[in-house]
Amino acid sequence: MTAPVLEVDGLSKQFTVNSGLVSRLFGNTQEVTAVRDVSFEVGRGETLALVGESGAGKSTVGNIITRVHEPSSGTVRYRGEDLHSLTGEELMEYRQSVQMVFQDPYSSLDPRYKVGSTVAEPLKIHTELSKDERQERVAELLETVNLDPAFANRFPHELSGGQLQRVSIATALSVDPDFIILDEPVSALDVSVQAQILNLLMRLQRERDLSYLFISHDLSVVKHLSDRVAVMYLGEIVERGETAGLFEAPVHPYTEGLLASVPQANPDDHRRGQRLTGEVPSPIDPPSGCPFHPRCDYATDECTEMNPALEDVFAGRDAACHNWEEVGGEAGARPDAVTVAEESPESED
Amino acid sequence: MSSEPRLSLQDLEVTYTTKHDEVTAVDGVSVDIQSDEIFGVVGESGCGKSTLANTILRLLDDNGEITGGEIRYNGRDLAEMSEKGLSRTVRGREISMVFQDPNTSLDPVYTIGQQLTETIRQHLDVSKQEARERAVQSLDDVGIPSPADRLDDYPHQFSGGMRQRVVIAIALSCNPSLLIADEPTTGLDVSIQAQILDLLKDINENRDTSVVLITHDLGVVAEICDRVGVMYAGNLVEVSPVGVIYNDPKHPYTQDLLKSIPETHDIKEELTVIKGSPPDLRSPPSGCRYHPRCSKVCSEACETGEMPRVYHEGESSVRCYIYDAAENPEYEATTNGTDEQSGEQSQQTKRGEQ
Amino acid sequence: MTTQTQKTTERNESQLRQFAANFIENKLAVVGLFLIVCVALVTVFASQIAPYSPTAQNYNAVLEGPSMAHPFGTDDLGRDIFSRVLFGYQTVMTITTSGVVVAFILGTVTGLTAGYRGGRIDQLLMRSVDVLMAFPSLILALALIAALGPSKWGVALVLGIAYTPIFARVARSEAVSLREEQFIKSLEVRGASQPRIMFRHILPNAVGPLIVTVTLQFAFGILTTATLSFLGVGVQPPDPSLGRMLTDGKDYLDTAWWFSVFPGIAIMIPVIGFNTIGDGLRDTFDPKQVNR
Repeated sequence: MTAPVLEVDGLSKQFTVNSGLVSRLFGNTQEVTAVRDVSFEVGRGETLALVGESGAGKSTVGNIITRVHEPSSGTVRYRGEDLHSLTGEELMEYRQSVQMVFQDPYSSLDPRYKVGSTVAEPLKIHTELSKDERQERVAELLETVNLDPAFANRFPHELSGGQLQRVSIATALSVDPDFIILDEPVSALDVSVQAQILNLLMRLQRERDLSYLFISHDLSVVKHLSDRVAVMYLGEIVERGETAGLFEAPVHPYTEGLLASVPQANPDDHRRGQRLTGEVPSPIDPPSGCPFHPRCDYATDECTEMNPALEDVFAGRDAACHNWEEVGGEAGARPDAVTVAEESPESED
Repeated sequence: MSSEPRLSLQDLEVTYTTKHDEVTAVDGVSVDIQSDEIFGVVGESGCGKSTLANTILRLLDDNGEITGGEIRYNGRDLAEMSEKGLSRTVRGREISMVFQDPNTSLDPVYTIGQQLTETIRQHLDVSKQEARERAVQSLDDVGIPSPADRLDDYPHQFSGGMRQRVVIAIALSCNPSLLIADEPTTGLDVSIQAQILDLLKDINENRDTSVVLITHDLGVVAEICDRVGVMYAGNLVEVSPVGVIYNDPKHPYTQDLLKSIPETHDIKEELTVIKGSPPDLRSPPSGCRYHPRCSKVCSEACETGEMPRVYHEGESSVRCYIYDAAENPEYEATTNGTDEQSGEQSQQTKRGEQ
Repeated sequence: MTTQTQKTTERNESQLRQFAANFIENKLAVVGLFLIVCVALVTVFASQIAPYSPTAQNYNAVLEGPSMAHPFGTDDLGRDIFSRVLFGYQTVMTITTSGVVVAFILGTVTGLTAGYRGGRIDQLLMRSVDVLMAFPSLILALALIAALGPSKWGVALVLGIAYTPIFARVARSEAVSLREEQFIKSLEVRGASQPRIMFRHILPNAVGPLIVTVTLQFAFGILTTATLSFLGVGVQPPDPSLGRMLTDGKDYLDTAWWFSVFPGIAIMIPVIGFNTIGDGLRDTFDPKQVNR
């Protein structure tokens, strides 16, 4: 892999809950760990998918990268620069270079602005283009996302969900970013429209060598679009690796269960493997040891006491599980694994 | 198939009247729901699938109206029944419904026990004590651990998945013979979705309850349905057994839809897309409503004729001119599903139009 | 280019027309609008319409009943009540308009800032607003007048301060919900400045509820102005004031009903007008009615 564009290292984020006046006066606050010690890299032209169920912390990671939230600890480096040391000019450059596309196309555009103005807004903020130049650029951008440039004069409520999502993408592209965070970009769309948007995203990536951080809970879309996948559970990355290999032979019990839970659009190919039982525990009071152990069929005493660290289990695959070798039954599916040395106990928090 | 269908929709038509327009959201839908089957209704947003679900129990918004057809259930036409009779004997008793959002389906100010017993006592002549026992049984049936203790809990004390189980428990508390589930797993996490789907399947297998499952997710349908109806722009364009839908879909829309999902492609391969977007039902296209997006337009009738009638093709019913020998010269009746008579009929219709 | 702009204006117009069409369907609001237009015209053209000077006394015509010469009759000093009502409108409308404008500006800026910034700034601003809110606006007005001394502009300022909390609350609640909208979030991510987001994006989207508040506050403002005058702490003579005419007239209720009844009706008309318009606008702005 080429030098990573984005490096996330040891990222953690705690939120304070119950911050009413009274509880604050008495110092009676609760901390919720939304993200715990998350690290990953995204290379140029690469798509990394963050997957997980609600409460996994994947959106919080996205929000930290876009500086909506400040991390409690850990660093985010973009092209080698620590994101949280950026100020003024540099920060504006970063905001230009890193763009975001959101889930809900209906609420991601200001309903009172015409599509053209919305697409031109980043140009107004980041460039010195004249009004005519901006209009020209807007027309080009709309064509890039396969929309008629005449759409510039329409209001968002006149557009369908798919068209709105195209406008969102055009807005993100307006300032020639290198990196786009896609937060569930197709989950609000119908199947037939979803395919159009996925094709568009793939084409843009090829043409512009874009890097994507793809946040999603839809595993079939993730499988299709991403090069590498990081699976999150209760704020931690539990498994990370190349997409095809990970979907073929997951080594973390959670990944295995998650994949087994996905309904397959093929009645002859029903889900295999161990499905997930129970529900995601509350992040306010997470389980001891490995956060997944109460739902895990492979759990041993060790798991209730010690949270396994994310480690290289074999080439190109990391997993945080004491018993990963047991997962998936036959070990033939994966390359000869180097037996991992004893898990180094890692102090969390 | 010899037994009487549990629910039979005949030529059902539902129209919404807004200030400026009339929208026919469900147009000429005919289908039989057999006893003991899970029947899936799939389609994209705005295709009328939720309207169809709401129509069966006549839960339409004020501006919606059944403008034609019948809803035959147990020898009665629900479309003609009085509102009072419907509430007393059918809704919640014989046919019950589960909605998408479990958070708004439960009243936050009552315990789930109160909500369960309310439904039970409304429909069954039982004492408070019996109702409570029944409630516990219902919760147990849907897999809520230690149900007797949880009866006095409020909805907010349950997680999203558990809440949906409670909603299903309420729906099942009077042993309905038909359960309509409108997107019951949308918005739930996949692991919870799998559990709820298993539950629905379990209910269908272990009780005398048919299930109508409304969903946009082709995976969900493949998972638990026996037969599937595909809706497009208010029309039920195909009804087939689930195996046929996925292995040998009959209607071009079904074919195109399946081709557009990532599962049928290699990783990073360009997806096959359906051109355009679903039509605005305020001014639906002429002819077959799918023809502007169809890759298999086969005759002039597709563009200018009526919406095609239902053709029987093997175990499937399809509304597409491809299966009309008169309109599609290339059509060869591979199965003897289409008989002489139907060909004649359609010719007559055609002549009638001209 | 030109065709593009043309199309744009057309579309804007058609949106406006749609809005107007929805508004017109509310018959009561249309009546209200008609009343307000009448009051506005009368206010602007008071000096042209009024047959007499509002301060001209005529001792030959003291407490005369309505007649062709004096449609609303005359008061205890022989002044033409019709003319005084017209000029009274001018006074009350000037005061109310200034007051509501002040409150709108102060309140909206406070509310938008509090709602959008959140956190400590929100706490600080809204607690101050709560303090103002804790006093009934009339009592607050009386206290402020006592401090400022009674005058026309004093009353306007008092109204401005007293109504600021209402605008602040409306603006804040809109800002709080809009802040969570993805388009606001995406603007932040794209590096738009805070004032830009607040005044170019949040304000236009909050304008509906704010306009409704403006019309309703107009109704209250007219009432409060009249009340203050009635209590003798508002507009000072010789400026004609509807509230003061009520006070003066109440002593003659059994002999000269017109003295207080006509000013009373005069106060009622714009109050009813603004209230019905406010309700009508609220219904029209209601997102449930927006066609999608």
